Amino acid sequence: MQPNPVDTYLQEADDLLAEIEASALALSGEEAGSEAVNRIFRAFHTIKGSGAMFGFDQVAAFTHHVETLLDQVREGAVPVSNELSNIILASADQIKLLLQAAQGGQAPGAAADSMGQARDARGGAADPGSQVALLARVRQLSAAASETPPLSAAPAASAPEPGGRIWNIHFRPAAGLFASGGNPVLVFRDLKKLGECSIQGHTDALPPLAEMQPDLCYLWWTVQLTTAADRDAIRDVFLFVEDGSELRIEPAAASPAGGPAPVPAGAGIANLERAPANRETEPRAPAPPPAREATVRVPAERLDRLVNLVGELVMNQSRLATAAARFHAPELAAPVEEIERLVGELRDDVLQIRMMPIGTIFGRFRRLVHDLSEQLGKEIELVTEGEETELDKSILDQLGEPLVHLLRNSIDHGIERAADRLAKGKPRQGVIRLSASHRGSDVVVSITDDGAGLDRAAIRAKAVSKQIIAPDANLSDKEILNLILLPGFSTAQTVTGVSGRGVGMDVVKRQIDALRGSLTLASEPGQGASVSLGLPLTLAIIDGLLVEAGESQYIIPMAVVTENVELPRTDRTSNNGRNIVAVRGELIPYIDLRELFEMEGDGPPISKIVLVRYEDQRIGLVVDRVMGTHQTVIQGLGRFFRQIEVVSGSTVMGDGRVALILDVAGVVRLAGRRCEVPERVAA
Amino acid sequence: MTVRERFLNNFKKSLVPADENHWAEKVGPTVMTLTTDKITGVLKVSGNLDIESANPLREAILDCFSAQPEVAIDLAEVDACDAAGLQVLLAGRRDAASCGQAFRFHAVSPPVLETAAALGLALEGAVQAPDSEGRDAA
Repeated sequence: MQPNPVDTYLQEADDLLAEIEASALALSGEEAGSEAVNRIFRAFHTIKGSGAMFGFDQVAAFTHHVETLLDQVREGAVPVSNELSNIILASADQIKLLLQAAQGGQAPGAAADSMGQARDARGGAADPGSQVALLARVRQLSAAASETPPLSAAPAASAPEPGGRIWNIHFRPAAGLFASGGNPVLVFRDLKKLGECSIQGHTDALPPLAEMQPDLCYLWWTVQLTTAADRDAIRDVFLFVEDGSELRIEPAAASPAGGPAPVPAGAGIANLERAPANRETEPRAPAPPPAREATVRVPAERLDRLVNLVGELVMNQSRLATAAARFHAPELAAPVEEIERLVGELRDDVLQIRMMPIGTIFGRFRRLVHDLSEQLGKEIELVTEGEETELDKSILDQLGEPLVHLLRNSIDHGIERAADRLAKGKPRQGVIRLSASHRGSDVVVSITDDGAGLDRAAIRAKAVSKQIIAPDANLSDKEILNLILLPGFSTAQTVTGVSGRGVGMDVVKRQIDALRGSLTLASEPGQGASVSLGLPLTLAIIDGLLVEAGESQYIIPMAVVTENVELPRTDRTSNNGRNIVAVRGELIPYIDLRELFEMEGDGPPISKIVLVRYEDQRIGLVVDRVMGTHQTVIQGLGRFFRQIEVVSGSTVMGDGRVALILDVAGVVRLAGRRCEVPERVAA
Repeated sequence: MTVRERFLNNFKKSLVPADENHWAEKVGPTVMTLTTDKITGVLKVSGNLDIESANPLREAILDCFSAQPEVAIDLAEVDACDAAGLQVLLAGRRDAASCGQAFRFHAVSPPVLETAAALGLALEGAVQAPDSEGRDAA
C-alpha cells in the first residue's frame, strides 16, 4: 500500500515542528547564525516548500514571513532574543493549527492534547486575529533590522528584474541525488530563469572509474548568478535537491578574494583540472550535515501486532516442547531445542525494536516547562539527564501523562517565585531535574525540584480534615508523604489552571501501578521534593513465579517476590485465626488465595507462602504449590475482563492451560475490602 | 581474459552476431557497440547516455582500458544525456589521463553537448557530430 504523500507531509511537518520547538527552546544564549538557528530555518523552509507543493497555501504563506525573519537572524541582522524564541514557538503552534484546519477535521483551536490548556491559556493562537498579531510581532522584530525590505504579502519571489545583485552559489549535492530523482540540469535551467548565470561544474571529486558507483553524484558546482530575486527565491530553486546537500548562497561581495572565478560554460579542460586547487581556497561549510540514519517508519500498531505474534509463537513453542517431551521422540528434541533458541532470539529482537529513548518524550516537557513557568511568572530551568535510556514504546506512551502531572506539580506547587526564592537565599532560577537511569532490570525516572518541598504539617492537617486519618494517628514520615497519593487529596490552597484541577496524585499513582511500576516520594522541607518512578523495561514479557492454588495456575511477577516459605496447616491457627505468620521473627500478614478466590476444599497439609513486596512492607500469598520461574508473554484479557483488578493479564502455558497474572496491589485491595466488613461488625 | 570474453561476460545478450572484433549490447533503450582493431577500441553509444546505462558504460570503458592502448568514445547517436552518464565519461577521461592511456571523444551529438554546457562541464577535444537538424549546440 502506497502511503498518501499528503499524510507523509503531515507526518514530516509534525517531526519538523517538534524539531523547531526543541531548537527554539535551546536558542537562548546561542549566537546568531548558529547551528540551532540554521536548523530552525531549514525546518521552516521545508515546511513552507513542501506545504506549497501539497496545496497548504496558507501554511506556506504564513511560514514565508517567519522564514524571512529567520534569514535575517542567520545574517546577524536580528539578534537572538527571548522574544524571537517566543515568536518561533508561537509560529510553530500557528502552523500546527493551520495544518489541522486545512485537513478539515478540527476547527482551529479545538485542538486539545495534554498540553492544550497551556496553549489556550496563552491566548489561543487559533483565531485569525492572533495570526495577524503574530505576524505583526514578526514584522516588528524584522523591521528592527536595518535595510529590511517591507514584507511582501505573497511568498513567491518577485519576477527577476534586469540588473540586481550578484550571488555566488556553491552547490554540492547529496551523493544520492540521482537516486532520489534529482536532476541538476533542470535545477540550473530554473536558475537561469532568475537571471544571468555562469555555471561551473567540478569533477575533482570523481573517484577512479573502477571504484565509481555511477548512481551516485560526484559532481559539484559553483554558480555566479546575477539576479534581482532574493535569497529565498534562489533557495527555492534548489528545494527538491537541497536535502543532504551542501548549499551556500552568498552575495558576491561576501566571497573571499581569490575565490574561483566563474568560468563560462564549455570552457577548456585546463579550467577543470585547476578546480581542485581552487577548492582549497574556498570557504568550507561549517560542518557536514549530520548523516541520515537509515531508518524505516513503521506504524506502531504493526509493531504491536508483531509483538503479539511473537508472543503466540513463544507460547506455541513451549507447547511444542511439552508435547515433544511427552512423546519421548529423540529426533524431535534437537529441532525443538533449536526452535526454542530461535524464538528466544526473535522475541528479544522484536522487543528491542519497540524500545525507544525516553528523550523522545522529554522533548515536549521542555516546552511545557517553558510555557507554564512563563504563565506563572516563575523562572525555571529544566535539566534532563539520561535521555538515551530506553523503554518500551507502550510504556513511554502511557508515561507522558503522569510525568506531565508531576512536572505541573513541581512548577506550580514546588518551585517558588523568584522573589521568595531570593528571600530564602536560593538562586533566583528554580531547577527541575528530570532524569532516567537503569537500576537493575528497571528504569528509574525521577523528577526532582529545588522548591519548597512537601509541607508535612499541611498534609497531616488536610488528611485529618478529610477524615483520612485520625487526629492522633501515629504515622511515620514516609506514611505522611504517601497520604498525598490517596484519592481526593490535594494540598493546593488555590486551584490554578496549571494543577489542582481535582486530578490528584492518586491518578498518577494508579497510572504507574498500571504500568507495574512503583512510585516513591522524598522531600526535604525547604530544599525541594523528588518523585521516583520505577518502571519495568517492557510490558510484553515478565519474569514470573508460577504457582498453583486449587485447580488454577497463577503467575506472580518475579519483580515483587522476595522469598518462599512453608506454612504447615497447624501454623494457621496459632495466631488466633488471624492471617499472620512469623518469618524469622518478623510478623507478616498473609492472604490465602484459596480463601480469597473462594475455592472449595482444603489445600495440601503444607502450603507455600510466597512473600511479596507491597508498598514497603512484606505480604504473604498462600498457594498450594510453587512450580518455578516462568518467562511469561503477557496477553491482555480483553475488554470484558478489564474490571477484574486482581489480574493484570494472562498467559498460555506449555500444556495449553491459561495462567492468570496476579496484580499484587489488586489482590491486597480486594483482601482489604473482604476483611473490612467483619472487622466493622466486630467493632 | 580477452576483451571479447570480458565484454560478453558483462553483456550477455548480444544484439548482432558477434565476430572477433565487433560486439553489441542493449541496455534499455541504449545500444552499446564495441569495435576493436589491434590498437583502438571504439565504443559507440546509441540512444540514452543516462543513469540506467551509466554502469554498463563504466564497465565497458574499464574493459577497453585493460585491452586496448587507445579508446575512442563515439557519442554521435546519443539522443539523451544526463549528469550520471556524463560523469562516467569524465571519470574515464581522467583515469586515462592519469595512466597515459589514449582516450578521446570521437563524435558527440548535440544532446550531449547541451547537457555538458548546462552543467558547466567541458568535453575537451570533442568533435561535434554532424547534426541532421542543423542545430548548433556550441
